[in-house]
Amino acid sequence: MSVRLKPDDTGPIVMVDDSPDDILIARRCYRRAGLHNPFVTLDGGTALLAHLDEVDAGVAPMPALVLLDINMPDMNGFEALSRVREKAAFRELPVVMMLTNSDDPHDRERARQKGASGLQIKPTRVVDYVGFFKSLAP
Amino acid sequence: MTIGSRIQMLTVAAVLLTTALVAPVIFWGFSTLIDRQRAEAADRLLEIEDRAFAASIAELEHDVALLLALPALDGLAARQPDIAAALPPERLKTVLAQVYAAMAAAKPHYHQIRLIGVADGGRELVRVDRTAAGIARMPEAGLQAKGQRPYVVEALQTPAGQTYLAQIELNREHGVIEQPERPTLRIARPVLTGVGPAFGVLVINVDFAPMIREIVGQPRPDRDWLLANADGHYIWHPDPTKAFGFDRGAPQRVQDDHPRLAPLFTVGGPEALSVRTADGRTAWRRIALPPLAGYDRLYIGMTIREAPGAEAEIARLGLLGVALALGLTLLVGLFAARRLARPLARMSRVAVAIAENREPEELPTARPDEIGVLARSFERMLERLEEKRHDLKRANSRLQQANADLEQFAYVATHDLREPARRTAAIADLLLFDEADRVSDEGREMLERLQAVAENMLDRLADFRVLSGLGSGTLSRVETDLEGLLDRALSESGARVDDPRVTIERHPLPRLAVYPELLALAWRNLISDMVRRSDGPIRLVFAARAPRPDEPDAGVVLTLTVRGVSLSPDVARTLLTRAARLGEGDGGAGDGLGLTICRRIAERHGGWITLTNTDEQLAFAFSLGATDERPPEAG
Repeated sequence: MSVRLKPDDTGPIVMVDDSPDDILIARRCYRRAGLHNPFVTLDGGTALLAHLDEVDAGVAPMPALVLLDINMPDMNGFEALSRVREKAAFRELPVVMMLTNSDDPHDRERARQKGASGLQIKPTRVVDYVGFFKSLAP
Repeated sequence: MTIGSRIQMLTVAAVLLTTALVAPVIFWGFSTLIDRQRAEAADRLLEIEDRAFAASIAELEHDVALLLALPALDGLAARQPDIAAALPPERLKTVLAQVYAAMAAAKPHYHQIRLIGVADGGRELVRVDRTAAGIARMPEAGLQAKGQRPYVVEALQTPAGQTYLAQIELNREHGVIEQPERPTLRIARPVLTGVGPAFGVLVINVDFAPMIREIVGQPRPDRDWLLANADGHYIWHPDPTKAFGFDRGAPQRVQDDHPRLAPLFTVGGPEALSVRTADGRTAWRRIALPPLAGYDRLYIGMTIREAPGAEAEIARLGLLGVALALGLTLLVGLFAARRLARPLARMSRVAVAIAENREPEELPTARPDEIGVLARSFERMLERLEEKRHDLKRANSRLQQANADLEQFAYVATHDLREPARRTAAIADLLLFDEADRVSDEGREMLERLQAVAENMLDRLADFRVLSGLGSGTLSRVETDLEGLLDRALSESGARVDDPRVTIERHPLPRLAVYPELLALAWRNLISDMVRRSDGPIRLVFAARAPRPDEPDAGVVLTLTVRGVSLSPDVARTLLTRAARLGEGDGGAGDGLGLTICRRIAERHGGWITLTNTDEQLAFAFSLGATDERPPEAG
């Protein structure tokens, strides 16, 4: 599943992850990728749903893309994705699931069933992470 | 063959054997019984005929006594002087002749009645004969002198009141045997005067043949009557040449024909004897004659012949009886065998139904015999088996739950371990990128080493996930193109095989059912380990072959021959064991769980892995377990 940002879509890229380390790494790599969309980070599924409520209320802009971690303590990524897809306004919202392991067929299948737009293994090398963000460019 | 069939066959065999043994006994018993009945019948008939014959002799004796008491004879013999005085001798002879004729007329087998005088050479005084024309008195001129004939001499010596029976013989006229032959019985008494010598002899000649015929009746095809005199000479025989042979100069005796009957004809011998003959039985008995002078012993005999085919008839009846008994016994035996085997067959059907997981019919547990014991035991076994199966199902369920829990734990553990390793590697990489101009060379080296260690840990976790079955391609065998799988393993080995020192040589590999992720992991680890151990050029040769005779059973053996790596014997010996796993102490990156994982992967396939170490090369042989697959032809 290859995901790209829509041209002229200036909405933020929202990263949802409970790990400050992962957010730090992602933010540093995103900065190197040269994309112009704002990079917004949230620390869990609950925060995502709250943010989307604001979007729904017109308080916050519609995200161009959501990067959603799976393993999170308050609400895991699959449940959060289900809740997002329940809202009609966000059924078409691009959501990329961020996987820790590449070889678990259950995670892949479950992500597909929940309506994920794409899957991405979290890279360990900066060059790979930067490359992932660059691949999102329209 | 079922037990029922065996019992039936044994029953048939037992019946046939019994028949074979019993049939001759039955036949012998029948024959003996019939012969005994035949002997008893002969004895009874002989006894009857004996009495009849004795009665005939007694009748003769009475007739002689009657004729002796005639008054005319008293006058003729001068025993009554008044009669002698009243009638002349000729008149008295005439009266006597008339009485003799009347007697002869009344007794058909009386052939001749005579009064023989002592005087004049024993000349006949009165004689009445039965001729073809009838009964007639012999004229005076025809009368003969018989005084020298033995029966006259012996009759004259007979005491008063006793009757003399002469030897039965062929009648003679003028000393010559009369033709046709006429067996004659002579019975006589002397005519006594009371004082002085006897006056003469009264003799009755009896035609013996009709007399005997009258006694024994008509001839029958199954029996013959026989008579013999005191010496055993036949005087009545169905063969005319045998009777009175002694009269013709050719004696024929009973004891000559049947030596076992000889004791009967001795003085003081048994009164009756019976012997078996070739065609039946002959029985003899001494006739109980009244007290007689002269001829005091006569024997009557009987030959009973078996009817033609009698033995065959007995055998046929016997066989028929045996066949009926055999058939009946067989039917009973087969019925009994079937009845006995039926519960066994039922038990057998129950066992088969249980083995085929079908609903079994009811066991015959109510039977009071051994089958019932077996059925009840079988039922208890089934109940216990069901309990065991239930226990096993519960244990299996618990084991599955435990496995699921363990799998979940392994999943969480590898995930939780992977996250910090990945972040460590990523942060080290960020530092190298973002702070490169502010980090010293030593710091850079340390950051690079930190990154390598973190990535090494990620590799090991990946291998662990594969080995523990958490990843795909590890739970079931999949028909796999090994050429493609090796392509992937080489590709995933990345920089190691891209090293200019490394040369890859490949031979055809088959398509096999394998655990693809595991096999790829084994190849990756072997490649990584061998490249790491080489300081110079290294050549990796991949191939497949059939197992050698000295190798355990295996369908296909994958081989990796490595040229350019040498190992010490100690290292080679322990290379495939856990104690020698790679990566420990040498700081190599990407070694995963080392070569010990290759051994585990071979065992997971039901195969084995070996290492042959020579000066020039290392040779790994990797078996995938017994399959029907064959390796590709060489070349």
